Amino acid sequence: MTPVLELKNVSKTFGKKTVVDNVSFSVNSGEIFGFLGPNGAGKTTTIKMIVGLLSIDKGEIIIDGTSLKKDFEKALRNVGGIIENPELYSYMTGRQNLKIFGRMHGSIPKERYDEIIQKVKLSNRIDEKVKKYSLGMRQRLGVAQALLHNPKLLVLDEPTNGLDPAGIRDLRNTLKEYAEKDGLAVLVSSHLLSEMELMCDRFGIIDKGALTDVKTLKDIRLGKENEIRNYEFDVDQLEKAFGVFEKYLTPGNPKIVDGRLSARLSKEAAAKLNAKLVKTDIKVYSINQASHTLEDEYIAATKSEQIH
Amino acid sequence: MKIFALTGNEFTKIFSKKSTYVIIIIALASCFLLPFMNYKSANISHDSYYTQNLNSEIEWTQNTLNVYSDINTRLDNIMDYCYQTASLQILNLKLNAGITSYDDWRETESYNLINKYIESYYISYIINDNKEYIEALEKSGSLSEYVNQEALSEYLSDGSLTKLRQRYDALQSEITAISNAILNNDPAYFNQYYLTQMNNDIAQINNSIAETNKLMAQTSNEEEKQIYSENITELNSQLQLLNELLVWKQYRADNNISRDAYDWRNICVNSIESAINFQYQLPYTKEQFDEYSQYDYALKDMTYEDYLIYFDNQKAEQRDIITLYTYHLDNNIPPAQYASSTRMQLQSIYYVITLTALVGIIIAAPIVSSEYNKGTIRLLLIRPVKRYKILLSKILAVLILLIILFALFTVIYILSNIALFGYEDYSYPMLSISEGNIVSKSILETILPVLLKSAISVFFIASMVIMFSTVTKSTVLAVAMPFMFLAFSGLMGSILIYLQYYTIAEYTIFAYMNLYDIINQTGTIGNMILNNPSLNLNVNIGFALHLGYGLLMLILSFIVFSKRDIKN
Ligand SMILES: Nc1ncnc2c1ncn2[C@@H]1O[C@H](COP(=O)(O)OP(=O)(O)O)[C@@H](O)[C@H]1O
Ligand SMILES: [Mg+2]
Repeated sequence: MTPVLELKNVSKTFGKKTVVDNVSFSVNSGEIFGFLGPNGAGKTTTIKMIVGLLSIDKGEIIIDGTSLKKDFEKALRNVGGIIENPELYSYMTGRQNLKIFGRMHGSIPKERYDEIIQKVKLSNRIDEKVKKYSLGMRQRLGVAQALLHNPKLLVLDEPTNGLDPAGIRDLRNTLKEYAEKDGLAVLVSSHLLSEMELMCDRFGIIDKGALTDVKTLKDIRLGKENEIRNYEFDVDQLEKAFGVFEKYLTPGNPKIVDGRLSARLSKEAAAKLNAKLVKTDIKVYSINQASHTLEDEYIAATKSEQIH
Repeated sequence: MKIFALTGNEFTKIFSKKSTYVIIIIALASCFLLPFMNYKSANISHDSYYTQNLNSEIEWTQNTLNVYSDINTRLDNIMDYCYQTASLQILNLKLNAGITSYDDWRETESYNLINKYIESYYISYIINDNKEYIEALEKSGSLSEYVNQEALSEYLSDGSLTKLRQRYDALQSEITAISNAILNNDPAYFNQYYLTQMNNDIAQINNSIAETNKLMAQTSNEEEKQIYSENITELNSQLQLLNELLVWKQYRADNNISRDAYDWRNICVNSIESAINFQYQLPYTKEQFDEYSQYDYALKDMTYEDYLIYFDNQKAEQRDIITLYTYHLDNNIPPAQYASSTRMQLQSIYYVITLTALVGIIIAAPIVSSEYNKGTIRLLLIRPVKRYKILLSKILAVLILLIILFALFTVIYILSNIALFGYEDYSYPMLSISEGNIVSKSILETILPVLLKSAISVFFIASMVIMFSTVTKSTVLAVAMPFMFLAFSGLMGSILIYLQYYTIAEYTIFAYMNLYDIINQTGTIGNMILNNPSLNLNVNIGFALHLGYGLLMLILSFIVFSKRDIKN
């Protein structure tokens, strides 16, 4: 299966600073791809290149088989997006806004407008001026303009900003529905992990302009043998145990949390440390392995640590 | 075509803003009202001034005369006493005649009475044998200046009063007749009066010629003969001039031409008369030229040879005026610039160009910058549309809108004039002269080509607005810079010409901002063209500069808009 979106060694520099550094990944049809990274990592910059707002310094972006550099119009025909906040024409009604954008994609049947308006639940307010809309309504109108022309690729930059939990849930459901039903490929960026976990099938993690890891949800759930995870030790002599951990781990890793000793360790290291504790006559009542979340992935990807 | 859809989008955006309607409505209203405003200001003239001034003059004159109630003071200032007395008569005549404006022809004619009054006073002193007065007058030496030579010399030689009496009676009846003609607002009297005068002058010259001929026949001195012959040539030339002018004095009398400063027939005859006078003028001699060219701005940087050509051209122009205005009079067609309504319309219709440019500045200024500032650019440029098409659609929307508005403003302006003055004035053809032949065109045929050609400046200004809006992303700059250009380019052009940087003025755009001023030779720049024969402002170069600079600014806008990363 050819991916809907493919980035090949894409780089972008602002002045002397390389903001996106040799990034490659692809998004398939029907897939929701989470693009994760802390603020300033280069998510928006990457996305702006995909939708044609920024020129591509190096590398290639291919959308539905068409290189953006070679045929801009053909490549973007199948893209819908919201970059940062959806800034609409506030002096026009929601419907006028949709018409303006719709006309830029060629002719879109009238029923399609009604359909999408209904989908984003704006039917009763669509003929009001956008300046009267709440942030959530604008966000929904933004989604409507992005999906209006039935694109194959939807690009959303931090779409959950300013949405309430219900709004986030609605967005999630809409995206999932389109991905499953129409095979829509979705690229969604965020610096917030919790929402991404529920929404995305795959994740790319970007830090300081470089893509550090791409994982499926399944990868993460199952974990890997040498994966570093959070372990909690319930011991009788907390101070003493902490001393032992400090000897073997980098400072800052072992912590005392809620009367328990906690550290980020590999499976192997956890077993070794357990043996050391037992040797120094410390009772170990239990060892808990914190469930593996995206957060761990995220932190692991952005600052990894070796155990000696 | 996609570009039509995009242009339609831009129209939707423009017309979704309330401010667009407000601006257009204000502009349309001002087009409709301007003729009315012109009309009012032209007709108010300075009536209230005039009457105020007249009253205070009367008061002042009376006060002066009060001072002269002392006989010695009066005798010491006998000339002024007579002058003030005559003035008071005339001021009262003006008041009684109901003159309320300096433009009233009777204003000048009243003033011409003053010498007649003074002469009659002087003569009356002599006739009544008022010894002190006669003595005072003789002391002031003004008798011979005012009193008829013939009558005075007769009196001085043998004390005879016969001719003085005749003269006095003649003056009295003339003063009465003129005063009555002024009171009755009767130009026919003056037409006849000046005709008679002209005939008298001609008779006098004929006399002089006859006498000189006699003298020439009597003398045998070759040198004297030469002088007489030159005199006769001179007199004949004068005679010829007066005979030509006589035709027009006769014309005035026969056709009962008014002397009203706003009557086109009067203006035509006046212009013809002064053009005839010009035909008999000689150019300055080299010496005269060298002297006058130091003071005369128009001659400042001309050589004598240039001047002679310039003089000949002026003479030819004046000759054309004679031909043209004679045709106007013969065919009863008022020249547009002297027919009350069209005159105003011609002067002011070009206002619609500036108005369109101003509306253009306000509407076009945010067209690119606001997309950046509001962030809508991020939804606009992620479409399957090349960027140049988006900018092109914006430019097209602005230009189409401005063309429509320009047409609308022009039509409304003309309709408003018709509403004010009626249609008749528009039906007169516009006459001009080309290589000695009369060219007749309708009013629209005359104005529209000039108006359309001059409207290229709207394109230039609109391009400047779009460039600033695109390049600086600042709506404020996109309004301010073109506005300043519009407001100050004329001044810049004038300064360049004033400093005699003619080449710079001829090849930069400043002096060309109002092309119609160059075509019609009106306004500051038009006057400068008239006064600087070595300045060659070419309308076609001006047109090309507007078009060229406009296109350059648009090209720059396209480059910047297409290449620039959307970083915000
Ligand atoms: N216009 C710009 N000029 C220079 N640097 C910029 C510009 N915009 C963003 N950057 C830099 O690029 C980096 C990536 O920014 P961005 O893509 O917005 O990150 P993210 O969306 O992941 O928060 C940041 O370090 C930021 O400082
Ligand atoms: Mg961002």
